[in-house]
Amino acid sequence: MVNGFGLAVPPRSIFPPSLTSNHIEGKAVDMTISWKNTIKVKKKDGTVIDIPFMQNVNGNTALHQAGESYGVKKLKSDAPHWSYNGR
Amino acid sequence: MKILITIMIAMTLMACAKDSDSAARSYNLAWFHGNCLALNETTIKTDWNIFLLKESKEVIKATLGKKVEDDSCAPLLQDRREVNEAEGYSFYQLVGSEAVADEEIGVALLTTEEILPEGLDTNNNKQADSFSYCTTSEGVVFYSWDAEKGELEPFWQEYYYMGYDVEPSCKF
Repeated sequence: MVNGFGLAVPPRSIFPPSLTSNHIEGKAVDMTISWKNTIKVKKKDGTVIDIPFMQNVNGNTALHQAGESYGVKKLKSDAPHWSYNGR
Repeated sequence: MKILITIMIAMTLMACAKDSDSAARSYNLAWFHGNCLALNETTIKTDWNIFLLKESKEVIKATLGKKVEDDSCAPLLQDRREVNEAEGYSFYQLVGSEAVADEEIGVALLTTEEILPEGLDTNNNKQADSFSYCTTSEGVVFYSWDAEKGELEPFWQEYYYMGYDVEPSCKF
């Protein structure tokens, strides 16, 4: 069962799972986004911004701005994590 | 004359000792999970010593083994692999780390030195370093800091994505 469900028990992890995560209420999503060079993205207000690809997604402030305009905020400590409140 | 030569030799030896003491030692910082070392540094040689800093303050000496690309290395488990590889890490087996349990994690020091000196100063700023780890919402941050700036301003940190949500403990 541990393997089947990929449960994070030792030796996979020593940390118990969070019981307060935004994922539990479906208010967060983990996603890995990649593209080549720079793309143009329309924000919710209609303005178009250039977003370069950056290996470090936590440092890609232009991407964060685009997401935030639609109410999807980046949690900067964890690369794939986005949510309604940035946590 | 004899006294003069003795003094000159003594001064030369003192100068050499001073140079040796102040010579910057080279350390690289990394992290481990069980028998697996995560490296984002490509200049490490297989004959370097690896010191694993356990949470119990015990230090285990190991050496670099073969590169691992399957999920026998915990950071390469299916739910973690993509993000950890995107962070730029390569993963290596640790040789001689039998005293490290499979679930243990911590900071690793890689160096050509045979032993770790007292007051270890990996960033060569004449301040002893401290090492620890804390959790973010989905991972672990390994970090090191100087006494002057304190734990909230680490001079080195690396991230380990765990693939599920944990309670965050990091204060920075």
